[in-house]
Amino acid sequence: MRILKEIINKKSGRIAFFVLILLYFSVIFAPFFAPYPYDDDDVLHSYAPPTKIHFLNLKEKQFGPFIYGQTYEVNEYYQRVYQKDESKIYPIKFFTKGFKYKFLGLWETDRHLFGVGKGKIYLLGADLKGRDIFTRILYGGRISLSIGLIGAAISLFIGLIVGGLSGYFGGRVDNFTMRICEMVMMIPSFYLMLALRASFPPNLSSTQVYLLIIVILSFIGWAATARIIRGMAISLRENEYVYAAKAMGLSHFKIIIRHILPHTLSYALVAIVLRIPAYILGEAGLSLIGLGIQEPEASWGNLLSSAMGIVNIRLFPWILIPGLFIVVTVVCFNMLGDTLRDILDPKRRIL
Amino acid sequence: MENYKILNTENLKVHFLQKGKTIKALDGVDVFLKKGLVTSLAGESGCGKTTLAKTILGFYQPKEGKIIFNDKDITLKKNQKIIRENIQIVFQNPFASLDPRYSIFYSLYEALSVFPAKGGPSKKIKKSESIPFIKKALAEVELEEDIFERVPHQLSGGQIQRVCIARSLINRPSLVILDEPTSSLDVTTASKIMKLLIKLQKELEITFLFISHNLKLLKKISHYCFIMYRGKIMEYGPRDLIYSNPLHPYTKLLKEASEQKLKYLEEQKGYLSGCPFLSRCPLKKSDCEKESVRKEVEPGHFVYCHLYKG
Amino acid sequence: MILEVKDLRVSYKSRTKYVDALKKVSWAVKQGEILGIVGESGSGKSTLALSILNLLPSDSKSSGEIIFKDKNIFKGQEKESEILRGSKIGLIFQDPASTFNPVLTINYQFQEILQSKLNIKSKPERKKIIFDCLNKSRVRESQRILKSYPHQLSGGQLQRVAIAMAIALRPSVLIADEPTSSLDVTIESQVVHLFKELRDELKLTIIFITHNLDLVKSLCDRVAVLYQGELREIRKKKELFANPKDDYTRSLLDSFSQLEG
Repeated sequence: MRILKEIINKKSGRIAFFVLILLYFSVIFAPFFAPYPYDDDDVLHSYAPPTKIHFLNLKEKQFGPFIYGQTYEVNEYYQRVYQKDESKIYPIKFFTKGFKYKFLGLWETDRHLFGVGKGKIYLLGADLKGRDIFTRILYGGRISLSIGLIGAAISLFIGLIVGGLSGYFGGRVDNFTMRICEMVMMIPSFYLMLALRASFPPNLSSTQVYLLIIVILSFIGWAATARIIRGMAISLRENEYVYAAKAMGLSHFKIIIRHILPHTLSYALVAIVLRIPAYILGEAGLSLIGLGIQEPEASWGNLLSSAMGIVNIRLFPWILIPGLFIVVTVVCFNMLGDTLRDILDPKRRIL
Repeated sequence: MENYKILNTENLKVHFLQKGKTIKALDGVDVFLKKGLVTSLAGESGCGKTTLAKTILGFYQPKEGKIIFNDKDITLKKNQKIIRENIQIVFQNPFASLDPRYSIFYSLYEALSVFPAKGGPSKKIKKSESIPFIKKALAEVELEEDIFERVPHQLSGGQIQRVCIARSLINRPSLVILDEPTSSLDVTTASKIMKLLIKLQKELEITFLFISHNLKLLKKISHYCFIMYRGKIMEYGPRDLIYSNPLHPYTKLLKEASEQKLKYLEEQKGYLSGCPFLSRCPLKKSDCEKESVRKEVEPGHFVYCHLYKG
Repeated sequence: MILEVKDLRVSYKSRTKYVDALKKVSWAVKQGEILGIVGESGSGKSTLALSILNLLPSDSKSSGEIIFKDKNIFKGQEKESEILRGSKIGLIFQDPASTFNPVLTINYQFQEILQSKLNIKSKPERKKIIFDCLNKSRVRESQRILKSYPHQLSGGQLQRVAIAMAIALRPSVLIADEPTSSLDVTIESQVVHLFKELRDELKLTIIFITHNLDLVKSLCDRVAVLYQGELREIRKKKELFANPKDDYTRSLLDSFSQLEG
């Protein structure tokens, strides 16, 4: 598609696009990239630091990437201090066997990108329960990234319909709809989110929570989009081809679907891309305070909840890395949105 | 030989509210269209000619008055369907008249698919079945078939206007309104389109309502002329009489202006009653503040002006 | 010859390639003459107007000479061009509404021009010039017009004010780029007469660009015909209309007479 080419042409678009592709690709194939299941508790490695990867051990004639085993001692503050146990060498193998999972939910397999056999490799360190943070980021990404997309898409869909109908018909319908939009927009979104969440029972299954969050986020976001689509619809309905369609006898519904809404898509596309960060942060926010995705399920938001104490951050800084992923994703979507907006600027007459 | 009046308006009034003021776009308009003939509506910007076209099409609701089409009042909601089936329009700006996202084929197919084509299958037509109708429609306006797949921005203004004409004729309506169809076109293109319109009108015997500000252009195609100014009819009659013997001062000025002979004309000022042209008329009398009455000065040639005693 | 164009070539950038807007055009105009430049869309007539005043976009390519009062002004220094614009060579655009700043009164804009371009410091002097020029442009109710904002005036009134502002700077040449295309025919006729009067009173040289052959017939002394960037013919009006030598001119005149007789 032309738009894709244009995005890749610009430097900012290129970077953003490929980083996002990389992220989404990794989380789609999360089980393949992850060496361990996301709920793999291992108390022996609680808050283990990221494992160092070595490439050369002349004594044991070990070439190629490998890790050492880990043991710990308890110091005078009753804290663990991890040390490497050079007696145990675990080479890193690729395409190795690991835990069983269903590839793309269809084929059962146990192949993973990499593994260390009996050893434990923590690329980005471990959390309180000894679970691999790298793995949990991958699995958590599935939730955080998908909620963003789906929520934004649903919002956009509702916004298109409401805005399109309201702008096209004008008059009392328009007045009434816009007042409702304004009421929704007035309420600070985060509090609205909390209120909506609180109106449902606290203990729901993880799938239910997932769907609920999507519904809540969509409910908050449609109003702003609807307003702008409505503005566009008002100016679009004065176009001669709309009058021509009316003169032909085309029904109002068909006119809106065929002749008005498609012309709002250039804006709509930019709007959806720029809203996704808000949804990702919304989910992260809910999960952070415990109202979103629950343990042992992972989401980038609830991964950060263990990072809420300054002591933990100081001692185990790697638990902040999920936050880094959130930041990178949000920045990339914003860059992508900006690039798209420049490309789709009506003055450039691309669409 | 009197042609049947296919459409006529009775004291049509259309008012708009703009920034608190009432704008009388149509202020008691009586026009009629004779079947099979070209009736032209001449006037400058703001005279209400486009408003009249849109009111006939049902886009505006009149405050007062009726529009009788084939003995039915089409200002009533229940008769709206009659408009869609029998009255079509060609707009001034070709580049805005077609949805830029769709191919020419689709735009024409859309027109066909709403109502059954006269002489075609009675159900809503399928795309594949519509192809021969569309080909015929394109041939009528002298366009090649290979235009099917093209999109508006790939065509010239003249070609697009031909497509719009084809679209308006495809369901063989009894009346086609043409609102300044050549004003946005180049001279060479405009002259070809006018030739085409004259030819089609004769062949298909369709009634045309031709709207324009260009008196010279209207002379070529009209059988009947109405002169409009500020929402009111000033004068009307057969084309030859209007051009050889313009009666209303405004018509005379329009004619002079079209030959670049008009040197000076007062600016328009607001008016309270009577003739809207009062403030600019070089021949005004005290009578002109009263509402103008229609007078037949010669057979078929009517004027709304106090200068003439019927 | 007060203004002469020699071998003017202009091409605009369109996506990846350059498109010729003017292909080696040469013509000249005498002082006090009204030259009509006739062309349809795509002929390059607006490009011509912009070139004379060095108002071409920065990514366009151009070559040739434009000689004004024996000096080549084409592609000169920006400072020199600025001096030219308005006070030596005036320009009137098609859309009068876009000539004016919508948030300032006519009076303010008129005064600003006199101050900045002609450096007239005394307010009474400026006022005198303003009224004088509005009179010459047959603007009625000058007081009211000066106090108004552009959106309160009609197209015809605005265009007359634009002409008044243009002549206030006393240019020797006035370029009018389709000045009446957006006006009603009654106003158009009056504006055309105004141009004639101004040429007679002020000895102005006028370059009148249009696609309307009627106007050219009544107003111009000589006529140049442009077609797709080429100058097809340039002759005295009567000769051109009576006996066109170029094929395109002939077909243009034919279409025109068929259209309007």
